Amino acid sequence: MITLKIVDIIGSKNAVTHAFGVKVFDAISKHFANGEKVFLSFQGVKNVTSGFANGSIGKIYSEFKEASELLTIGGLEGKTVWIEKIENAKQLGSNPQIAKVQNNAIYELLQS
Amino acid sequence: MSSNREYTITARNQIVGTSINGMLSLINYYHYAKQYRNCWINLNLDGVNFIDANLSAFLYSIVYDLKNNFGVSTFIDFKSIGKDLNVLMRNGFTNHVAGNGYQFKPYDERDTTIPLMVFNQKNVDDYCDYIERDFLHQRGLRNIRFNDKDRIIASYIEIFENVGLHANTNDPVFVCGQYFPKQGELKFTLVDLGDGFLKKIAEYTKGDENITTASDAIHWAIAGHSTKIGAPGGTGLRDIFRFCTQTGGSLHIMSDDCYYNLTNTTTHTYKLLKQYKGATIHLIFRFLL
Repeated sequence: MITLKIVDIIGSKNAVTHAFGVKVFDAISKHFANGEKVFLSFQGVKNVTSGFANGSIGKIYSEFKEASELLTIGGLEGKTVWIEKIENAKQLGSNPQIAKVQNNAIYELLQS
Repeated sequence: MSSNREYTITARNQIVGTSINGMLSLINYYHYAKQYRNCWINLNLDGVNFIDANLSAFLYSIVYDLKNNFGVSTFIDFKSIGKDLNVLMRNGFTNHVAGNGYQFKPYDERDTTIPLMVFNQKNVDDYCDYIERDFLHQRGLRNIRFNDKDRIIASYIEIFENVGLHANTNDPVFVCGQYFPKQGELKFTLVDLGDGFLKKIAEYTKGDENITTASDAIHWAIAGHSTKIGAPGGTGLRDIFRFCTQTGGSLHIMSDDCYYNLTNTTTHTYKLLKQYKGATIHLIFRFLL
């Protein structure tokens, strides 16, 4: 299993932009293409946004059916909010149609 | 350059607050000034007794845009304004208007002001440092729950990130905040001068959901939809909405001809007769003291 540190890939402690997320996605997918497992480390990261989580982990889950077996994520101890964003990203990536139905339901509610 | 024009800001009860009325008081100046080219306008604040200091971000974006796009420079005689407006000096607004930018955190004996800042959209690290240094170290926030602090930081950063992703502008982003200890409120304002919500959402939803109004576009974005292609998205604004409803906070979004106001769990949308460019977002978090 190869370890990828987010701070090394993006060159910042702030994992906040979608573009940074895509950089991480690119780094992970290169190894997945070779069938390698990846440990993605959040060690040293100071901030995480949904945009980053969706662009990296969400995109991985969207494009690789075996993502849950190949990808392990660490460095999230005590980071409840980040864990939530990452879990949302995984769900969104794995089930885009369910997400769309949920979003439509919320949209209808906001309109009423 | 001619300099014989003056505009007086007027406001209900002489208060420019973080509300549709407060914003319209400032937007009226923009609409007055943009009729002219290459001149000075004296902006008179005599008619204002109080202004929410976070609105410095919005007012300075007006000053910036008038100068950049119309050659109209704004002069404010700060020596003549009342003492309750000296927050505009304490938060650096006067430095920015004078063309000095942000050089150092002005001395603030009350320790409640947050400096007005102008960020290049690519300057993510500086923005994050600003949020952590200047917002989260306000004395009222030192005792809030850790998870809430994380959510507040995430909210501010998500909004900044959305500008880079969606606004389609090279103009900078204007940010300011203010802590109101008596009310237990932390107010944050971010302004971009981009396309606003409607343009991109209308293009994206054409032939499908066909969003054609600004209020529908804002609702669509808050519901969790995204115009992002090639990756999932859209959850940032929805997370902020959810956090505000859970904690009694407020989320205001002004874009195109719509002013959207979520306060506690109630939402209102207002149609604006006078618009401003881009999108302005206010976040108001409330804390038990």
